[in-house]
Amino acid sequence: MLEKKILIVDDDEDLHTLYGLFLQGESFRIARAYNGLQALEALDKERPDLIVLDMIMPVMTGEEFLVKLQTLDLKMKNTPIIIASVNEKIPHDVLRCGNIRATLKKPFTIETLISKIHEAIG
Amino acid sequence: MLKSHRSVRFSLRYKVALPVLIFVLFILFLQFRTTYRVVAAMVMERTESRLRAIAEVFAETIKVPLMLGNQEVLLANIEWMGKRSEVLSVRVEDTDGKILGTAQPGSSSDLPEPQVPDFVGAKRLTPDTYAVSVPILGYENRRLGRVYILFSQLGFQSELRKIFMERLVLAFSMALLLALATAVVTWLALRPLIKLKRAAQEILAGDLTARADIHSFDEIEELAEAFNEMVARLARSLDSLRARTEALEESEEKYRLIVENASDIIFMLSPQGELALLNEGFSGCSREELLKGGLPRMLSLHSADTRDKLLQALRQIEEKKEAVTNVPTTHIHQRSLSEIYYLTSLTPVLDHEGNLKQVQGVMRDVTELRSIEIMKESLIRDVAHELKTPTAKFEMALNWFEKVMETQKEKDKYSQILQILKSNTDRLMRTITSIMDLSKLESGMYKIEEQELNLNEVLEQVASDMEPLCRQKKIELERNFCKLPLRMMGDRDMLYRLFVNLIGNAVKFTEVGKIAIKSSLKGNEIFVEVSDTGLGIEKKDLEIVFERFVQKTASTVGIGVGLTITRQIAGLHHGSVWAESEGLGKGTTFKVKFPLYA
Repeated sequence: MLEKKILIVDDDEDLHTLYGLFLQGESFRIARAYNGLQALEALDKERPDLIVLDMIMPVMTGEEFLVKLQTLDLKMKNTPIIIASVNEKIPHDVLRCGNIRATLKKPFTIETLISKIHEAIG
Repeated sequence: MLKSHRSVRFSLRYKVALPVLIFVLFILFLQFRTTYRVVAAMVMERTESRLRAIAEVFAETIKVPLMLGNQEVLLANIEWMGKRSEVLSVRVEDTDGKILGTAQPGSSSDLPEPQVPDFVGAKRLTPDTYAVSVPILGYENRRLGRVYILFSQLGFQSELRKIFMERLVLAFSMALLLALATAVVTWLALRPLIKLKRAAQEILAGDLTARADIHSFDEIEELAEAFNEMVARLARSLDSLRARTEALEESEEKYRLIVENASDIIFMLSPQGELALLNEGFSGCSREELLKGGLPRMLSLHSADTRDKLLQALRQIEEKKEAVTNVPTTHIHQRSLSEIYYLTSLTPVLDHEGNLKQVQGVMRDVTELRSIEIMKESLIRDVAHELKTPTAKFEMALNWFEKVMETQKEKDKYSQILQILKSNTDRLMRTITSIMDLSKLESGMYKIEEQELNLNEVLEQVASDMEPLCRQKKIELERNFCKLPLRMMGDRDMLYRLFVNLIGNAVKFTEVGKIAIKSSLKGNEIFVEVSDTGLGIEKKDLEIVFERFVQKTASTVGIGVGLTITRQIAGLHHGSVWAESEGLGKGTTFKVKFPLYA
């Protein structure tokens, strides 16, 4: 089975490190983006199977990214997304944009992350 | 002031006395004149008859000599007659008119002759002279001639007139004297009235100390006493009125200063919605404009939602007659269009019968306070948020570290330090979350996402999530849920938080025994009880525990905002939460009440 590619979108370098550590030993390939704009580029280039998306980021926020995503082609628009944010409440209208499979509240445990990923992309 | 009429005036007594006097004098005069005339006539008549009698006696005397033709005796008799004092002249004639003898003692040549030759009787010729003529009758009344005598009654008429004049003058002077006496007496009688008049004039002139000092021992004295009493009372009431007016002016001045210099906006609203008083304009609207426009103009300054709030508060005052305090209201400034925040307090002013007379209102501008509050809240939120991200990373790193350590040989060596790191990171995280939640809840900006839910489901979830914690402390967690679904409108996450706080709290203060969660339905209300067998709370502290940053013991973890958040959440759901305890060591029961959603 082909390794799934996960695009991590977060402005925090530490979190990228943590995602790396958390997903160590799992058979996923990881791509990185530091804001929504980079994420859009990476989406086109990397064609990930899943996006883990932070909400509060410079340049382009997660919310803006989700809105922008709606304008793209069908395949990319339907990429499964897991939202991972410090804020517990995410507005309903944001949740309706895109193929959002789960929301994670930071801090989360390794188990939670891995189980949500598996739920999202089997 | 009344102007005094100083023109010429006649006293009442003159007005009455003068005509009376004139009338009396006139009557007196008439009486005297009549009497004089009657008396004069009477005297004249008497005089005439007397003189006639004298003449007749004389005629009788000369009858015999005449009949005998004795001239000597006749003349002697005539002579004798002529010598009588009253007699001016005597003449004896025979029937043919031939003079038989005359006697003229006075110069009687000019004596007038009687007009009629055969005149018989008495006649007054001049005021002082009388002519008397009597016939001389012989035997069988045969006429022999006649006697003609002129009598003088000198001084008689003027004498009579003099006497009458004297009496008249006397009577006049008596009448005048009487009038004078009457005038004096009436003056004496009227003197008290004059005094009274003078006193009244002085009082009119403004001297309220003036009194009528009258001792006339009659009705006027009584009148004066009543008058004095009236004036005294008038003076007293005027004094008290003046004192009260002064006091009123003073207090009005005082309150006016307070109201005018107040930093708050103070107004009085009539039940008809008119502004009876306003110390200054507000929200870019001038005082005059507001006073003219009344309540409708005032309401137009409000933002739509606070307009309803204010109207509701006014309705409440009208119904319950109770003050409504600190209603947060928002105005839109008429010129700058910025928002201004007020805390409006309304107090009813009632009349004696308890009817609403006015509504007194105070509006405190809290715009600045609010902006400070907002700054504070945002600072707290920002700081908490800034702390939250690193703490979250800490927690995640520790999570990874713990997992890695499980496979390491030195696991036991680091497990203690790992535990300290984990529990403190967790505590830090919870504190940050609590502060953020509280600040959000208290700012009123927290929007609850209401949905219809069954509270039993929430309780079930809380119970199962709290189970491990209880098991850890070897505390039994008893569930006794209502069989019926507990339908209510609410925010699932927040309700979850509420009960986690309550049960977490119970676990924190319970060392042995059990924690019981019980839900029930009474009428239209849902009741949930969380009771423990723990520390208990003193009666005086039952309410204090809900205040923020209050902790029962210094040794326990947390910053004491858990119960505050609980109460905030209950309030947002139109419910309430309170504590009951029999005292220290006797456990605590927290009770929550929500309205049932029908």
